Amino acid sequence: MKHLPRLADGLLLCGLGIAMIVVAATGDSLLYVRDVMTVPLILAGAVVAVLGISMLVSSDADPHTPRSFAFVGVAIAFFLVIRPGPLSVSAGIAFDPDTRTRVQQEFEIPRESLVGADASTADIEASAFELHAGQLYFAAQQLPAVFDEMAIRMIGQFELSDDGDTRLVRFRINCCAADALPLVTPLDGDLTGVATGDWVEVFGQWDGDADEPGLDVVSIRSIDTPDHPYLTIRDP
Amino acid sequence: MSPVGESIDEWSTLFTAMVLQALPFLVLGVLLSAVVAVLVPMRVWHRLLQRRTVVAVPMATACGVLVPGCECTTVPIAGRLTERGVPFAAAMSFALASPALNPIVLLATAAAFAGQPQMVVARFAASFLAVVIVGSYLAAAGVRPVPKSGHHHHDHPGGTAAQLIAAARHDFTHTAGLVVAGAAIAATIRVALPDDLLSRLGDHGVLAVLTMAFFAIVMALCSESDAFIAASFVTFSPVAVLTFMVVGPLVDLRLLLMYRATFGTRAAFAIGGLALAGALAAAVSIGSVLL
Repeated sequence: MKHLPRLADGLLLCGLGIAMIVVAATGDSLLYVRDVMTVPLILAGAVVAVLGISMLVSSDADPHTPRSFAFVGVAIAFFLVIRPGPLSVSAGIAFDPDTRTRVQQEFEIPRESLVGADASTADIEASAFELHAGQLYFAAQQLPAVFDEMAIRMIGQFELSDDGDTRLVRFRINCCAADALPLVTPLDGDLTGVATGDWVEVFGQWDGDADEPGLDVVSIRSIDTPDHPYLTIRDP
Repeated sequence: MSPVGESIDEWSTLFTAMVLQALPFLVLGVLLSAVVAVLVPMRVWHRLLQRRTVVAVPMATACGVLVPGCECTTVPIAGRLTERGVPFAAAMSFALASPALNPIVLLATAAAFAGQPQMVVARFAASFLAVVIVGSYLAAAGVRPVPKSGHHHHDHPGGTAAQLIAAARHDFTHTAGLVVAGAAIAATIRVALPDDLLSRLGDHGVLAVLTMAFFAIVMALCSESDAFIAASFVTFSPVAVLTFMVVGPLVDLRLLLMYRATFGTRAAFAIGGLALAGALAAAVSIGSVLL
């Protein structure tokens, strides 16, 4: 048989449409693509489901759907059953992006986050301003003196590299996880209690220079995978 | 977790991401394709593009420049245009130009290569040249594959809505499975690439260009995002980086499977080979002058 039977064809179309709607409506799509794709995914899923229903109720002749269409069954299984997680720091993203030359950030620093260079852990945790690695690289080039005084909170995946370096990694995507680039922040301090791949929240203060920005960590703890695991081009 | 387990996790995420990213654009493509098939009268295409090929190819390329289209969108449209009597060379010129040259792609390139406007100019010039090379060759060689899509819905009974649904359903079922398969292959190759391969290859001139062309084919990225990946290949020469951005929108694994689904195996190899050769020639020549 060279073609899929009508029933299988229609069910696959309906299944794919429903799977696209579910993965977008539940927020699972944010583990793979940007949030701007949520509505297009729902609309496209509705269209595909309509096509499937039309196939099931149609009285036309054999639709001659090629067997290759059965591959969409694999996609349905990944959307609804397997549901892989977001990219991990252990992923072999073999790029070493020179992010410092491309990050052009503008953001306001709240006055209350300027706690001074000798602030306590409690003060830092209470006053910290959340930054991501792109902003930290910007700071390294533009505002290093300001950051000496600042309490900083960052989230990302913890990584202990083979050579013993400790880093915080957050991927930035433009379209989807396939074009993810890692933004890396070197960490220093007491980093016990977490393991490579853990999503963590770190508090600390600026520790670096224009060539190698980093964070002197005063506290670190594991957190659940955030709803938006990736940074995108729209992040400030 | 074991390295094998990590690789499986990475593969799963990349595969799912690529399929999810492509599907809405594919649906948009088959809907537009259905409109082309059912609602646009034949005389419109005759008036626009059914002229001498020497006019039709550059005109179709110019149309592609103005119309932001994803690869998944334009291939079904090209099949439908061909079926409606538009010269194959002109239809392919449109299909290749739209994802390679549209304003969004150029803006993304400018953002990825901030402070390097010459890279944007080089990308536009090289991609335009590559599309014209491919279109001109297809026209000169008289390549006219018969689209595999479209021989079932012409005589579909019912009103306009029923015909639109039948046309869209037909095109979607003929391409969606191959998009999924292409994503699986691309994810597999991405995961299988050794980590230190890049640093070893980036130092070799010709090899670096060919390597970047290979990466563009297997990564199967959207043209609107490939500039950000290209900019991350800091160990490669600017010409090699340009090659990555010129080759990818014209030929990659996912596109090859879509070409095959739309025009047949022989035409897919012809388009793919020609697009690769044209893109390499254009990227190296333009890149050598501008970068």
